[in-house]
Amino acid sequence: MNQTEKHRLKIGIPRALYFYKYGPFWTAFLEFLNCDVKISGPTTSVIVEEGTKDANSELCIPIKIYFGHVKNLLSEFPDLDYIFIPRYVSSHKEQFFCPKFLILPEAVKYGLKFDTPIITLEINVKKNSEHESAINFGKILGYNQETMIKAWDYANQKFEEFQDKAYEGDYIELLDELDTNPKHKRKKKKLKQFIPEAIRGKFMVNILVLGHSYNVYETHINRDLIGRLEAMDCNVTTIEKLPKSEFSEKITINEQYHQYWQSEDEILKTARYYLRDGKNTIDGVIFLISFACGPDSLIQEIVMRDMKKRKISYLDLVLDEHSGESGLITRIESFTDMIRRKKYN
Amino acid sequence: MVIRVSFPSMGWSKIAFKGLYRPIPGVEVVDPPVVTRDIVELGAKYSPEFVCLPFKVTLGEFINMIENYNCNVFIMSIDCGPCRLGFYAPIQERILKDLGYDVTIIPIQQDDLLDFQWLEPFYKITKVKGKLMRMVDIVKGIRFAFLKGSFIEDITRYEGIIRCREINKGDTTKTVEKLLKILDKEWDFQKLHQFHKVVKREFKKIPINRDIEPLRIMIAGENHIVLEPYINMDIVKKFGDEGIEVHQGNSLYGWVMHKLHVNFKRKTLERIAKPYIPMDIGGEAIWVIGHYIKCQKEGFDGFIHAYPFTCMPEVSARGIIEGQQPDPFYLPIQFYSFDEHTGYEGMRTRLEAFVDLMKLNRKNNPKFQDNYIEPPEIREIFDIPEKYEGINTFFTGIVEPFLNTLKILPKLKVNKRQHEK
Repeated sequence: MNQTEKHRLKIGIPRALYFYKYGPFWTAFLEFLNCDVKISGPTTSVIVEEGTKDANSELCIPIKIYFGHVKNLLSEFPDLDYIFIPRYVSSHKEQFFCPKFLILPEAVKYGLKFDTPIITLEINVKKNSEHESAINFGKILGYNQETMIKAWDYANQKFEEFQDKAYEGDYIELLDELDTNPKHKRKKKKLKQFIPEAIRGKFMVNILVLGHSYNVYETHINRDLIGRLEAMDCNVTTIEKLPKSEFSEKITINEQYHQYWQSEDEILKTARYYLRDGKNTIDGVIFLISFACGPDSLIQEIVMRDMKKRKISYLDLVLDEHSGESGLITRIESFTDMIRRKKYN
Repeated sequence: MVIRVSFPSMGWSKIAFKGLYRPIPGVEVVDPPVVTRDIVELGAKYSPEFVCLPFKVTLGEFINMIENYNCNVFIMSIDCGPCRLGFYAPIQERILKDLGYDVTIIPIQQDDLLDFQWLEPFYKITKVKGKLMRMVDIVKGIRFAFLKGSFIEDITRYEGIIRCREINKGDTTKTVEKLLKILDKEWDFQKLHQFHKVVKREFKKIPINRDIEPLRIMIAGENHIVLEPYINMDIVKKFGDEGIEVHQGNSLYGWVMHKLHVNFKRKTLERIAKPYIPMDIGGEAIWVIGHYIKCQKEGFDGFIHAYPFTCMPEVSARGIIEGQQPDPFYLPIQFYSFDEHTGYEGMRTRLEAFVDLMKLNRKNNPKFQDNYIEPPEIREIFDIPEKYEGINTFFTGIVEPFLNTLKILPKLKVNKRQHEK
């Protein structure tokens, strides 16, 4: 189906997985191409349930949520022309994304049965450059090469602007601004303040939250971890708050091995930065892992052992569709209390 | 000083690995013990929580060998993604060092065997000097490994096909164990090149019933799980005892050949599976789907997919197969996901139910085509008489004496230098 002046293509993007990282890029890219971008609503327990029903039980929870979002998109906008499912193979030579991202379009296409066609943006720098992948994408929509290269550069510029904004502002709110649909407005929940008013703000704790962007900023599945930590008088730092220059160096385990997962690379670099330069700026580390996440199961071990050596408090929270709210609160509450006792004693 | 070297066993594949490193001077290859429950538990105790099973098993083997076999140099394969296998070695080294063991893990890069990075361990494991002499030993080791690997593949292939036809129960198991024992101790190239005759001769002794048309299944999945009989509860034997002809999709020899880009069987499977999985995503996912579609076309009765719990590529493949059932994928399939808690009793119920299902499927499914052909291996073993093969004499007659002369050269050089001094 080609784009014409009369007919604006309606393309749906599921709000899950790498939407939390590359969402601004995709929306800018598609809007430059004059597409009508529809984004599925924030994750709810209904979406999680719908996803777990159809997905294979051994898949990790973010993928299950992705399935739920695709189903949600199809039911909310039945007249969609395409569903946009990107395939991230590698955006850096010598590195890969998790195998589940490599066949995400096929997993959705053959795992769920629906008629709406899938449009795929394949990013694989091992095979062809980023501009070439944009041109390949344009062939499906009927755009020429120049427009696609322009679109790519425009989207890249917007993405960088977004990252600069996110460096200072609230990441979750900025992401929500991408979706103009009034139905999807998130209501701000008032969280219970755990600290008594008399001593509020006096005993601050600095906490680094590690993890994939789709775990850290997905407020449904992590039960609004960042908000809750802030309600417990914590300064929260995430990977996105680190200066960009930190990510330029290559990470080595030792001379024989190198690490080959893209997002794990960022996690390891952040962990190393706080072990080395920013050692005194944090008091504790929380690592968010989704159950059955392959790369994280190994990376978590390295981070844990590193933190143990430097005596920085460390907590890993494993997320799955059954994890209850109170269990999580108890754990982070006792964790912050423990750090506070250690710091202010 | 002799260095004691070992590696994870991965079922019978240890015979081939042993051949690879035995001829290197200054190296003593330690035979890795058979995997048992204690080893798996030991590995699971120190492993990360939800890492896949091969990691736990290999870690357990390492600890066991350090403590009981006085061996602390290990060879472990690494990869460059995207599956977890490539990252086993650094984490295992870290865990072992934190436990207080003095251990060296030598990685062997198996990403692409044509870039010859896998030759590096040969130079790392030994302290004996002399590069040219080593070259001869390396060639020798590679020949041992390839020959033994191909015979292991043959033996396991014949095993699955013959066990369902045997008249006296247990004959095949005895023959296979005997043959593998002989193969393990055979270090003579002349005899090794003729070993396929021994294999066929031994299998020919088993009395079989050639009139039956048994059910056919294919077992495929993650390499370590399918090849390690303790971990998969010896699934090949269990199905064979039920009277089912078992074909195996995995073998070490086939994997090495694939990594050398000459396994055309796997290339056709990749082409078949391309619409479902467009690229290699690690593990065996793409070939599992290829095998599945091929088996469905050939009129197999069932398919077994065995993989470790939470294996990323295999789980993705499973999702695709499950989503496409019953149309267009109608071949009955059973998934076995193994972890350290898997017991046989739970598996047996499922296995028996699957056998019944296949029998009913043969009768009732209108899509099932009954085009059973007797596998060519049966004819190979029982009908064709032994014949003299000329090509092997090329190796034993010409190549080997030539390599031996090469071995003398560096010694001559050394003598000359001493003379000059």
